Amino acid sequence: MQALSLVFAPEVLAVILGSAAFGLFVGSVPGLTATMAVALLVPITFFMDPVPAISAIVTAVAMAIFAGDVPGALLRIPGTPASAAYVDEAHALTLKGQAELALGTSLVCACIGGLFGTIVLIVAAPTLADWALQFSSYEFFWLACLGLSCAVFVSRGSAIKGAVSLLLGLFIATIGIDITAGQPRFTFGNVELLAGISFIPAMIGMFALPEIIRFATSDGKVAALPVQRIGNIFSGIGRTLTRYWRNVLRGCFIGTGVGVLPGAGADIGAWVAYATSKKLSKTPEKFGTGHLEGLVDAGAANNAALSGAWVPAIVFGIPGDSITAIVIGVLYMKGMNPGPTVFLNDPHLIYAVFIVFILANLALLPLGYGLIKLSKHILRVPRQVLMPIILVFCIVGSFAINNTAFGVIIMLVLGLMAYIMEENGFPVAPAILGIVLGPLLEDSFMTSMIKADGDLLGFVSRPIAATLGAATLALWLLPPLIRLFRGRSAASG
Amino acid sequence: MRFNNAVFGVLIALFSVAVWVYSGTFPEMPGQSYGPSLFPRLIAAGLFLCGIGLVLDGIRTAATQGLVDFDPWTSDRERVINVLLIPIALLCYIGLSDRIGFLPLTWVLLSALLWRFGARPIWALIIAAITTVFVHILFYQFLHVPLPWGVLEQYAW
Repeated sequence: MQALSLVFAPEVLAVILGSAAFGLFVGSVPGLTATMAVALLVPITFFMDPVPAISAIVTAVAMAIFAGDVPGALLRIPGTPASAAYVDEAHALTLKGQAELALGTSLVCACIGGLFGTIVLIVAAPTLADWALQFSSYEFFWLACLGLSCAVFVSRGSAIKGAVSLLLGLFIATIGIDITAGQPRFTFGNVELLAGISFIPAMIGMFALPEIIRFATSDGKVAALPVQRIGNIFSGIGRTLTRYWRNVLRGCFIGTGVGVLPGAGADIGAWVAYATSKKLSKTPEKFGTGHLEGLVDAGAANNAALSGAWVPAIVFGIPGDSITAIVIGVLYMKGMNPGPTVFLNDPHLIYAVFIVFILANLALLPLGYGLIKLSKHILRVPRQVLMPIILVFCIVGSFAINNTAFGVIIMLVLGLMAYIMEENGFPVAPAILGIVLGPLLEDSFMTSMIKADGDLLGFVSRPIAATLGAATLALWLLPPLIRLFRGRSAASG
Repeated sequence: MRFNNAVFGVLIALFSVAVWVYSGTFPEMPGQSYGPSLFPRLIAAGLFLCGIGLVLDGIRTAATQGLVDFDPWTSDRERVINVLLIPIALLCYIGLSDRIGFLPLTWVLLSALLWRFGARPIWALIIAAITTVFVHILFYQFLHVPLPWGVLEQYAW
């Protein structure tokens, strides 16, 4: 009840509506991602209470991920990376004159996927949190290790590059006063570095600046719209859903599952769902020619992944993707430590988050419909005007947290670093996870060391800790062992 | 710009050695073999291994990937200027915002960027003015962020 009154306050509803419009806009402009929407939103939410702040992020992201489908279908340019998996499929439908069907299917599947993920979140989170209450620093250490290892292995590209990205993030987190001994580290006498690398400027730099630089390196041309009028997007939806209900369900499951895995978010969920759909389809040869089946799977999966990512984030404080990593950073700054104790201390807050999730996914239907109707105009907004304006928001956003130009320096340095990393195939998501989880990892590690008096066996002295530890080691050791084994059997056979 | 993995490998390995050595200057905790240097050193060790891995990988792919490959945009002078303008604008803001103030400085920087990115000069000035005032109202008025006034200090509200 308290949660209901928290969410249905007029200011909160206004925030939800505003961030929904913002998310739809950012998501539908190619080159602006959902993560960037959050990065630009966070400096503003910094000044809000927890519930409106989280509502703003949840709504903006859910809207942005769907909105990414619109330029995907109309221009063959994914609005966000999460739409990239099926952009060819959706565009092929548009070329066949079925833009309405493609967009309608995306919209309805996004809504169903988001709601499914939310239900899983509502059911799973309290149960898991109950269990996680018994965790000590050993378990949290292994959990953080497991989460970060997943982030390395799930990221696309080479595992070494993922590991470098993660370690750089962890290193950045060690800058400043050491939490256990109070010793300044890597500050080189700089007073502003004593407080550490502020998370918000770091995140704005890593997620927004590379997109602006990348735009400056492009020729800035935007393809012409192939469709002049978009008719009724909901005609034929019922038939599609009854025909492909299995795909909807499969997409939901895959998306939520991938979302729960730390480090893998909506984009990977969509790729996996699309590939699975193609593999299990009776007519795989139709994929890529404007076939609805893959669209149904992947469209549901990316929105389901968003909600799924919140399960480990709320329960353990381990982010499921880069967006929840940002959310966790925000919660820490607000003095709330995500983890099982939140369910005891602030249960109304958790329920408010659940309600916002349902609300945002339901609002997707009418607002998404509005976006599709307006898409002709939104896609014409010149990006050469948008990008410099976004740069101004980046400056003010990184300045606003500590009110010093030092934040802008952090934003610039980490932004350039992220740009070079991405250009060379280093994923950026593990780095942001490292920055957020670094303090938790080191704190639980040092606490455990002190408790066990330096005896490493202490880390596996409790059954759950031992299991989590074994899982982490298996994750690191199994892939090379399997490769070795395969290599041998190939050599002998 | 794309570099061969070996280039990154060498840089990362050197960086990790520097972190390892510098961590040695942190004071020990009395009576314990582990202190503030332990965690950074674990990170450094991991980075070193990754660096070696990248060097090996880079040597293996040396035939197809040169030390540095330049993207097409790097040969287009206009675009190189545009790209460089982004960090330059940020550096200007970092160095000058306290003296000149948010309103005039942002207006000038934003107009310049908009013009370079392809807007007509008159429109660049108008759009920049509207954006600057809007951002100022949003952050200074509503969110109480003390954006610097600089030369306009006496007119501050």
